[in-house]
Amino acid sequence: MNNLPRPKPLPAATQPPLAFRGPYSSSADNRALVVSSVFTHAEAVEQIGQQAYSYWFVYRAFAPLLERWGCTIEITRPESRLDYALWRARAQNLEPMHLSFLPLHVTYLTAHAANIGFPFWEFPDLPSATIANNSRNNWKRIADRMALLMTASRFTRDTFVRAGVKTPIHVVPVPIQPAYFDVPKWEAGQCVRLNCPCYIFPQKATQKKLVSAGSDPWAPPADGGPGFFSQAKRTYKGYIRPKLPKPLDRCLTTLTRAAKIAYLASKEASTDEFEKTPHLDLSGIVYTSVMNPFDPRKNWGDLITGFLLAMKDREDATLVIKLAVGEQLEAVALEGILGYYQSLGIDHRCKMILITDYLSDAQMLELTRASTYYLCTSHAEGACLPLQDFAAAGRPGIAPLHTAMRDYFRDDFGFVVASHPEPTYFPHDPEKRLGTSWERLVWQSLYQQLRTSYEVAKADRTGYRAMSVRGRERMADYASLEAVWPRLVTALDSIIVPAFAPDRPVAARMPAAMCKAS
Amino acid sequence: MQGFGTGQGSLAMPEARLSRGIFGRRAPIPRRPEVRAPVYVEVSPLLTLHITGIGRFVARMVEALAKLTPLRLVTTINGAHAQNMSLSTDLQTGEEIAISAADLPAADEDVGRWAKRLLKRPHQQHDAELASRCAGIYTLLRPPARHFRREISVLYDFTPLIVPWAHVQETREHFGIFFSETSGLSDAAVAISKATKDDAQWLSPLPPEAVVAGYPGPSLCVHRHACAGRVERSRNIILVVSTLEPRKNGRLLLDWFLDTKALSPEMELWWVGPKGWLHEHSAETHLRASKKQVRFLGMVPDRELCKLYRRAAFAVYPSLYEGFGFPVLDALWHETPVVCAFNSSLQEFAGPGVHYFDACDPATLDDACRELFARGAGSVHRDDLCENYSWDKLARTVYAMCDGE
Repeated sequence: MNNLPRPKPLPAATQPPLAFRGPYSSSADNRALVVSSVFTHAEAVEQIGQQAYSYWFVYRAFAPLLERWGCTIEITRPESRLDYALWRARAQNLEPMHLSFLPLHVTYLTAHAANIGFPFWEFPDLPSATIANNSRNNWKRIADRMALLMTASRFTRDTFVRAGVKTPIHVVPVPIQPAYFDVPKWEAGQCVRLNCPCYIFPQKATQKKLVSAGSDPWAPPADGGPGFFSQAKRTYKGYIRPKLPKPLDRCLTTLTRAAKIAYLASKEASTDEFEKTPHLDLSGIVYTSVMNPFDPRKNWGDLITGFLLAMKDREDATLVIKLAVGEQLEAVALEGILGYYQSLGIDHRCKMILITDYLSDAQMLELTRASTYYLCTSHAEGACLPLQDFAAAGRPGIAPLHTAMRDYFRDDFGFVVASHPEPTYFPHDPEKRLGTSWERLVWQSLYQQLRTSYEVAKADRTGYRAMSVRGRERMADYASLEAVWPRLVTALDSIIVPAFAPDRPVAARMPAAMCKAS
Repeated sequence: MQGFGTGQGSLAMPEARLSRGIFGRRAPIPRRPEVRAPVYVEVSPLLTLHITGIGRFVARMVEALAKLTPLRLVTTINGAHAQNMSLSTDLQTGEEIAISAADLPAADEDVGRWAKRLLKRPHQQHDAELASRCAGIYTLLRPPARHFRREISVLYDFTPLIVPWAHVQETREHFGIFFSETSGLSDAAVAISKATKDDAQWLSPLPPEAVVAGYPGPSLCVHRHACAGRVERSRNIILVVSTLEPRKNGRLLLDWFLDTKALSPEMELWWVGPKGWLHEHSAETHLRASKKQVRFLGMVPDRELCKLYRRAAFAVYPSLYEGFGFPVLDALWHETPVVCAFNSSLQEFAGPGVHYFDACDPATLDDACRELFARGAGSVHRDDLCENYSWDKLARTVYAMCDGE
């Protein structure tokens, strides 16, 4: 029925020997991974910025290596599809395991195969109790029920270990696409055109809006007094409501509120007043940052204020913010960022550019080529893949040295921004109780490092080149495909254990045979 | 063309099944006269507007348990929660209904009507002192404090956690509290499938040894057919029995049915079940544009449902996640083959007459239908059903748990 993709064999010379032969792999030919992913390749453009979207990029980065290891079968909605995929794989004489590229609170655990998780966790504490009446939010509980965990950083591994998770954990960095190592080095006089629409600031419209932002308390209201809705509300409350039965009143009130919320949302989301430029020409000293604007970890407030105040009058300095948002949320994201930007009232000549469109791999490489630095102001990171990618491309970073970045970022190929812990809440806790901490950036340090980095790019070419080279070397050692491969193999092979071993993981002992349907 | 069997006699099998003693081959139930204390059963699911999956389960379990022990029926849901669930006031908190086997008729005629009649029996004030010396079975949620000497919960499914988008906020909240906290107050729980027991291991605080998997029997026609008499099996009716709600994956089924080339154009899809929650009518345009026939029959009496199962060429069940899957068992019980999603508890029906597909991939649904036709549609005979799916067996399991065995 289904044509499962066949494994792509690795050249014999580089294929490592299997450490164990057991129920999960009698030979390399029948190893299989059913990978549960947050969405499919076809859905990527729409789903960017939605919950757990970055896991898709992680899976995509691992895909070539996973296919080397065994046959991979990708699925979404694992609760409904995983067991079918396992069953079909077994029908083709494969021995499948389940690898989940999803956050643990949406990971589905099957009883019919070993479950392997690849969670990202950016905080020093792990939720070890039910949150919001949902036992899946207890990450420790879910982690303890998996056969194997792989984490992208030692920071995440250490958090799980500190929380008392008993499941074996292997650190396997997210591999960097080889193309990033081949990006040409940055040249001072280069100019790169990207064919993607964007918003470039400052704009004339922005200035206009800033001027008219404050209302004149002595002038008549612009819309000529209380509006229709305001008058209708008064009439309803005063004359109609007292005569209505309560349920009808409740119904009308609810409907009106819903309509008002929808109206305000549509009004707030309007970004028509800003001019969108059809393409982007980048030259000078270019700082790039990639982030989901709805993730408070990303700390785009410091990103914008730090850059605008550090580079204020430097016309050749540009900050490119690539927003990871889908079409549905684009307007809301822009409204939030631009509202904040306008409220700052900073008069500047340096440029701030917002890109909201989905960029293809080729466009991302072009953006990297156009960039001088990668700028990260995040409070906490599980990996920070763009910082890795840009460093591999010889673009030094300006970033704090905390959480996952400690594994690979150093001040010899970047500018370290000082930070210190402050209390915060778990991201999936609706009550926002202070259960953990993240890192608050020292703003003055950010400001200073931005100024220094600008001076280095402008006046110390040798210093910049040296950093660039060291970055490429470091990332090749840390997260090139070939550097990651042995770690991945060691991790995956660790649960292929002999059938007679009494202490092998419970999930690995699941019977391979499933029910024989039809 | 579709590989149907040609003998009409073979399409009208229930009578033959009855003659083989399928319904009559019940094991004798040991009476336990030494146990005088009644068992309390929380029966809120019987108070809902439509007696569907869980309601039918509770009705059948009450029927089977009453043969083993005197029962007291109670409800613990009141106030706004009861209003939101549109519960009937036939039984309210603070009341109880005493039941004994002697005065309880069989429910095969119609489970819904049987349940209504049950709730009309004389009520008495709840005896909390007696309750504290008896066992209690919670068949839906449970209060946050213990009340009985020994307490058993029933675990149907964990879908409010596993497919939360398919439930309204209130359901997610109430079941979230149950799964994460209050279920742990029970001494033990019965999970209605192995899959649900597996889910309990990672989603509930109950220790694995406290959860026992016990399959229920069919939801209708346990002892005899609700529709007496002969029914001819049609070649053109596909039957789906499920509430119209997102987890049942109706949209995929409708789109598939209207577009597929795997079925002959004469095939009709007959849909039994009420409109549920978060139901959307987005397939209506598609329906209007198609020449294919889809009939929404709504809720039907058991007599009619029995007839439909026996008439259908096959049943289809595309659910995205289940705790058991009554429509699959009910179809097989009526010797009707099933094309069924392969996930959760639905895998446990594997055997002759069940053809599986990927719940999110219509192409595999085509394949499953072709497989069914290739093997020759018509009636299926599953000898394992009586042994594996028995209300009396489940009642004995639950009763033993009440005793702490």
